[in-house]
Amino acid sequence: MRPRRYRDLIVDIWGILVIGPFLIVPLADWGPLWRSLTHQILIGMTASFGVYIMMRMRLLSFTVPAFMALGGYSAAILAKAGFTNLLVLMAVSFVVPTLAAVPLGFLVLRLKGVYFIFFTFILNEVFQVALFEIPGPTGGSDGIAGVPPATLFNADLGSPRMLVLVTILTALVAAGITFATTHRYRAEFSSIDENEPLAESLGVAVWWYRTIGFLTSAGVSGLAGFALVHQLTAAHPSSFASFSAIDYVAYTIVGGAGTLLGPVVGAILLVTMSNLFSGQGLYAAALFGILLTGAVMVAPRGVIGELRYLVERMQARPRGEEATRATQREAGHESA
Amino acid sequence: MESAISTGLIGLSLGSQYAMIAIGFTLIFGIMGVINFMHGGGYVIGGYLAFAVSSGMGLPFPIAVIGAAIGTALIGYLIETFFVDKYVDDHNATMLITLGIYLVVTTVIIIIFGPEPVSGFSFPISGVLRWGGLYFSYSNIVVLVICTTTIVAVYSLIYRTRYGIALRAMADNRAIATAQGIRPGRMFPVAFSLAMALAGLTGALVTPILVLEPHLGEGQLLKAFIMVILGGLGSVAGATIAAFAVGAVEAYSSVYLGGSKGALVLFIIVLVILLVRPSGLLGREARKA
Amino acid sequence: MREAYICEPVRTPVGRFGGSFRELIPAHLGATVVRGLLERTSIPPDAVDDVLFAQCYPSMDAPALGRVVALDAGLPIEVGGLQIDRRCGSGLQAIIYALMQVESGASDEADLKPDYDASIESLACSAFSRSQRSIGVQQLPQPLPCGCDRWDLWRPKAIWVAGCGAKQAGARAGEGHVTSWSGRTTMKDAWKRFRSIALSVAVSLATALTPSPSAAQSCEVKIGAVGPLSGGASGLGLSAAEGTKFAAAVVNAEGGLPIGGKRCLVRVVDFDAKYTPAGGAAAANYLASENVRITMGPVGSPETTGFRPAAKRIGIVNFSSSYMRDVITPEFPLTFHALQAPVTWAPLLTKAARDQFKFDTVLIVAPNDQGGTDAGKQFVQVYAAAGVKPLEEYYQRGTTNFAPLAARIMNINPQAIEISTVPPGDGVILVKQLMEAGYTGVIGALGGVGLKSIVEGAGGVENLKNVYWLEVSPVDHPGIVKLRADYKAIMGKDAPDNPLFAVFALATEVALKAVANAGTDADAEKIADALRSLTPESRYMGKAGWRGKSLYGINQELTFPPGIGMIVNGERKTVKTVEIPTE
Repeated sequence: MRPRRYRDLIVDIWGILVIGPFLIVPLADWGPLWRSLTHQILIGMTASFGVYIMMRMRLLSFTVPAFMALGGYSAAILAKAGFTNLLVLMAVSFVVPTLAAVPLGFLVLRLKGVYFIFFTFILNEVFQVALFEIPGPTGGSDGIAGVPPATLFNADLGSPRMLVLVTILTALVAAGITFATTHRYRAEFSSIDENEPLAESLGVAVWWYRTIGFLTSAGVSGLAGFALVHQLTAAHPSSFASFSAIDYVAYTIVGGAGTLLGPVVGAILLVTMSNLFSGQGLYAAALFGILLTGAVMVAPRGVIGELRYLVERMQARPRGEEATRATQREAGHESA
Repeated sequence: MESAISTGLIGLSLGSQYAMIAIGFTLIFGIMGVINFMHGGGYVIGGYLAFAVSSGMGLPFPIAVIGAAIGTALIGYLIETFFVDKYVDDHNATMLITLGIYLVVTTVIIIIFGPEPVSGFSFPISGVLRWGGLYFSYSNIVVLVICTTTIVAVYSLIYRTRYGIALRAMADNRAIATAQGIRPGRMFPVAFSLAMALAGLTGALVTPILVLEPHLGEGQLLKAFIMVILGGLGSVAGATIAAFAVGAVEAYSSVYLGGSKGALVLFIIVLVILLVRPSGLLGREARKA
Repeated sequence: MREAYICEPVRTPVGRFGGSFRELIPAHLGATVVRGLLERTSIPPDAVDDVLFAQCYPSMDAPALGRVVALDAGLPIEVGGLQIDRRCGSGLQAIIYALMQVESGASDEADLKPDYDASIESLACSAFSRSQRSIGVQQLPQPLPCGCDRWDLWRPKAIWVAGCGAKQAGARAGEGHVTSWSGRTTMKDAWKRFRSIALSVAVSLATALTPSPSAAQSCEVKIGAVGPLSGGASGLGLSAAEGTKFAAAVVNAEGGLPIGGKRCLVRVVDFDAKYTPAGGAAAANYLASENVRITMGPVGSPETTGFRPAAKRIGIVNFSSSYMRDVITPEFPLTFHALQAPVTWAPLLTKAARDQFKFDTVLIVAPNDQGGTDAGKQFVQVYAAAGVKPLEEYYQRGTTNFAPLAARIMNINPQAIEISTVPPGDGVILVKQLMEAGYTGVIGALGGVGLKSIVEGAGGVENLKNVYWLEVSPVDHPGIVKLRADYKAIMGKDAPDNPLFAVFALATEVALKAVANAGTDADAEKIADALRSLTPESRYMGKAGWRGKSLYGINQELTFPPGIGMIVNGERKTVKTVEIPTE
């Protein structure tokens, strides 16, 4: 059987590939609802990549909305100031949160376990208050409206189809960055995930890799913020509310936090269902709650996690017996 | 000077109201490792149950409060047994499960009672005790007394009874405690119910003083997070101290600095304390989440 | 023959059949003890040769219990283990075998505990079950003396490796639970798992896709209702939607909307925009896919921010009730305003209030979100223009207890307090606590907040003596009274208290008229033109008009009049209707 590492790689690559088919929506011009769904799914997906990166190190992070806001607002301010080149905007929305994450990481990464979680939750609230208290550049509680669309080589990307293309592109870039980071540091992240003291004792500089993960997570979240602001042509504080952090965490956990495909599938599933539920008015929240509870109870390892588990178990028996016999032979015993 | 004392009194009543929520939340987390997103829901349910019993059935307020606490405990028991128990070890799963239940419960409340704040539900004792420039409403005094009594009772339960020792043992090290014969299957539902009962009791007492509407849960949860971090997870004493500290800080900063700056101050203080003591004021090494 | 020493007796408490250990698996119990033993004695784990456990009811979950326990306790993979059964004598037999192993030289440190033997009884339900419960655990107390400071003399001379899939054991060790050796998933198990997942997805999809009773009529006019239907602002969204639905129901009760020579039933398509811009954008796109081209709502400012650009692109006419600064603007010609903002009626009302109550300072309290700050700033201008000195106080959105704020306000000591932008629930608490703090001034609520609950909360008009407030729809106006009575008659329940109900009932009436005039519900431009050219009229409130040119640059604000209510010295006056001039 191929080593686990290889199988994980394949599944991760599938995660990126699944984003590809969304291109049909703008290219074949499927209409506003599909575009809207694509936007919401991909933005949610990109944000949940931020959660996913941290979960590779067994850290549940609620920081995503705060960094989304940083990325989104930076891009908005820059675009309104006249710099609308798509690549510049994407770069800025990645870099600004990453830079902010450096001092923040120093504060936050010292916290262990649940303290980390709660604190990151509070961080979002702090950010919202800060937005209000610094109304000048951020537009305060009104936000920044009328953000011009990005341009690329003098092509205006403001039409609905182009907007979707930009979102898809951002999602692909974010997926690529997530993939690169989680695979370049796969061994280190896994060791921290499995047994941190042991990893530390073996010479893995846990603080360094945690920081790398935190910074990348911040950058990817910033990209999500850019995509959101670009789609709405507005940067508004309520787009980055603290409770939305839970949505992104839910996408990751329901989809499966073990591979890149997990957040992808989780976002597709939950965002689509949430949209369907919104059409039910009053019952929307309850339906979503039932879906969430049900999904976690039925598939505690996440949808992708459960599927992989099932597949592995079905393939396990013949392999198990062979391995057993092989081991016994090695040990000099005859099998019973 | 008077203003400072009045503010201190306000902080005191805030603290007592927060303490019960904080203790319940930290109990569940300390013993079971579950981040209970339904905790704010317990507060809301307590309020609505008390409302239903007192206004709907016309029973006297104390009975309504007790009924609300028992009812919320029962609901907590059911939630734990049917939804949380199997997944207790998976912290992420329990977090999302309790969140889902919270969403459903809130919607049910809106369907039954409507989304607007409830009318016709007020604390039976009204009036304000005035002394010079100081004031302290009777309702707040009653709530303070009841909260303090309950906190003392919970303390005795946790630290004096064998039952409480068992709960603390489970919080300390589940594996060894189980090997000593303490059954998680019995401890967990009761711990969960106790915590939810505390939240429900608080809701029943405080919402008539403030207001009762379906979406109070989220604010309570956020406060609970802050207090539990500050106090240290799993530490009942820490949660209580943190609750009163938060109450005092909120009171003084809101009165002298105004609403949103006050909130910022609170967050900054939490931040600083966490920098200095990453496990909270009285917390032990953090539980792996 | 060597000498063997028994040292370090260690045991767990003794449990009864069906007693406190019933939920434990034996391996767990055993592992706890082994770990404890290792801790107490500081034996290097790899010095252990073998682990002998007595167990009378072994199971497939942990065969060769000693081996499983050793791995679970963290002993290295080279340490073997076994299980012994001689019924009640099993425990003693384990000791005997261990002693024999050591004395004969076969092992240097036969497990673990030459002294320690565990007799773990468990009555598993079935040998093939995967998760087994032990029902009883029995330990034989070992009263033997300890002399185990000699262990370091023993060097391992033989390494026993147990059979039974050692590699798997190694791989699974440290997982903290019993390794399952023979468990495998058959297709049946996989199918069961898959079935439950598929079932849940199917159920949720079915629920979500359940169409509202859809019209099998020959024709149907669709109109949207967008607002926060969940979350903290749901009171606003739900009552707005009710108003829309009521207006539609009235038209349907008459046989439908006369359009293009036919009579078509009106169907309201509602969508929860969750009070966020993303929700507003999603609403616009969703409604577009449902072919809805005219919408009542979005209700909230964030929603409107997100809705408008999408609506402009797609072509959806909408009526917003937001108080945001440029709620209607020539940039978004399809957006109309269902009511007036403070900047419009406030001058009239503040003048009336000032004339009545004669105050010179006013403190404007608002939450620090968009609705609060925008309206707050409008009030500042308005009060200043009326000759009253305005002060502002913003509080953290999400505050539940306003006692500190009340104390702060008392320190400022204004003569009047304007609480219009405070959401209804918060308003009740704030006023209550202001009363407690001893406030005796005037309270102004120019925001349409339900006054009933505020007065009630404050303890009645005996306590709350001087109040002036805006009724977004003048509740004492005979037209509004009839509106609410009709609602009760048609819908069978009481009309929502929230003022947005009446606002949208009236606005929808106007909108439907425009749709009828335009002859279509699918062409936004035509509907918008029809709206602009008709005179807004309601069977309940009579004729009104359009305004907004001077303030917003575009004449698309309805002028259905609000009302002002007053309580003067504890006496409640009737609500006066305040006419708003058209432009």
